[in-house]
Amino acid sequence: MKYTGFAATMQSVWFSEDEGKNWNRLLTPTGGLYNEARCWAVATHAKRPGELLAGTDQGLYRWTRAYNRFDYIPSPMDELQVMQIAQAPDDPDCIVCGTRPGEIFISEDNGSTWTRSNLNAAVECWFINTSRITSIHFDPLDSDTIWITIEIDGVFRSQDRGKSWVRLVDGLIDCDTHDLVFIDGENGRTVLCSTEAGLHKSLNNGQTWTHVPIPVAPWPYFRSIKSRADENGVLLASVGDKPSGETGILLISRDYGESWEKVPVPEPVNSTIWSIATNAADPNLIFIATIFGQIFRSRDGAESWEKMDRELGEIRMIAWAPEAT
Amino acid sequence: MTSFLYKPHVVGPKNNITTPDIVIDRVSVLVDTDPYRVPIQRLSSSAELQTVKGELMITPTYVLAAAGAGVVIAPGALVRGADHPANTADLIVARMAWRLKNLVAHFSSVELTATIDYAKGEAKSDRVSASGLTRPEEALKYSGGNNDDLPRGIMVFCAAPQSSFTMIASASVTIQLEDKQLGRSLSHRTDLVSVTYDRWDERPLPRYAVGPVGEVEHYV
Repeated sequence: MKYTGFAATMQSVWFSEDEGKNWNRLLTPTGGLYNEARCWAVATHAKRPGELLAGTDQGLYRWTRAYNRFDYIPSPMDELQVMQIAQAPDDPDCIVCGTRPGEIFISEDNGSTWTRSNLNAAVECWFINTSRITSIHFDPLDSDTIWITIEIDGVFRSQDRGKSWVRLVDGLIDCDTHDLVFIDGENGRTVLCSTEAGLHKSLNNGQTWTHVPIPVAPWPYFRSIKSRADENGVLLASVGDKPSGETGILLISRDYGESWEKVPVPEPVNSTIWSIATNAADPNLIFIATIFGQIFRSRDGAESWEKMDRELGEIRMIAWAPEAT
Repeated sequence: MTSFLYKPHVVGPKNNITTPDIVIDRVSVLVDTDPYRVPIQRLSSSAELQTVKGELMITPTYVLAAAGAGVVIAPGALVRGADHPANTADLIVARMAWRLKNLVAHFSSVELTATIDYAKGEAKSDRVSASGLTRPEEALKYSGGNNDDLPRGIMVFCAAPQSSFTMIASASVTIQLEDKQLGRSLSHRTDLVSVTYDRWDERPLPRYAVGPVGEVEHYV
């Protein structure tokens, strides 16, 4: 399978067409996106092969392989920082963006029109000053339900595609939340939430959370958490010494988060592993990236890893998608 | 949705500074007890404001803005045509601000000063005791808030119409908010520039850079 890697960096979006070995940007004169635009998020959708959405400090952009160019998408987010993007699994025209300051904007028509959601997230924080959306998830069992994590204001859930929200923080020992994973099985649902103060678990759809001690994690700073795309019980979680950090580790669970162990990577990481990229097109192919530019790839479902020679600057998100056939 | 991203530097009583970015999407001007809703596009923190030729009226204000850790207060001004109502004004809000809760108890000792500097060095100023203005608690109430908070996204300009200036020439306006009890002040200066003024006698046509010399095919 031929695929493209994408890296959202503080110098625009980088592309890899050779399985992560080499990375390049589009030329500024023809690429449609300034090469030094700060990019925080990229999003692909299985029903839109050859398309990528990119969230930047200059607004939202759409890259299309057919033209190999970014096109600016007019939106109310131009003055904000577009930090997260998600598309409804059943409808790629439904785009949800999360920004800094912590706001949610929703388009139901592929970006033609936008609605600012009435999200009552904190607008201020003494430590980071301004809140920001750290992840957006369409509920795997109900695509009208959207979950978000906010730094620093906890977990929010909307069951009407963003028209109303509830804040779910009961039991979180820290509201600096980063990412979510949903595990739906015969015994019901488990939601895992990564925070700066460790991993949390909810057995009642977010109503309450309990801290999950992970003895193998030397630090509490949990950043990204992902399920392998085939939902076979394998979960990955990144833990750093701090943000942005000087080192970190990758954890793996093979039993839906019941137990965790450290995954060896071939070189010490230079900062927190900020992003984990999976895709259902090949559950065994996984990329991880540290915030300070290292990229690692696994082709066997996270059992072994190889470091890509090429390092980039500050990587905020990494993704991959198969080329259109 | 139209909004203004307000980026105040909020200075605390112990000189600590926080810099939240706050989305403002509703702004109103309060003259006495009457709030006038103003389009958000007229709101700015710019250091320079283009104005149309003619007589202008400058009205000093204090400005309240909703924020997560408590309402912030900043100096500001209304800039409008001399005979125009308050809801036609351009609105200037300083990026330096305080937390309202730190001065509301002694608000009557706060002073608002407006100074107009003309290009020739001539200046005139007026000082208003905040006790002559609508108190912040009242302003919050008229704007949908309560004693110490505002709903998110709201900014209110509380005007001191009795100290409005009328001016014709291009000038700068400095609005200062002085908290004598805590011995501190905030000010914001805006240069008003008539659109008929042209900063260059001969305005060149825009140029196109030659760009790099040589092959750039592999430059990324």
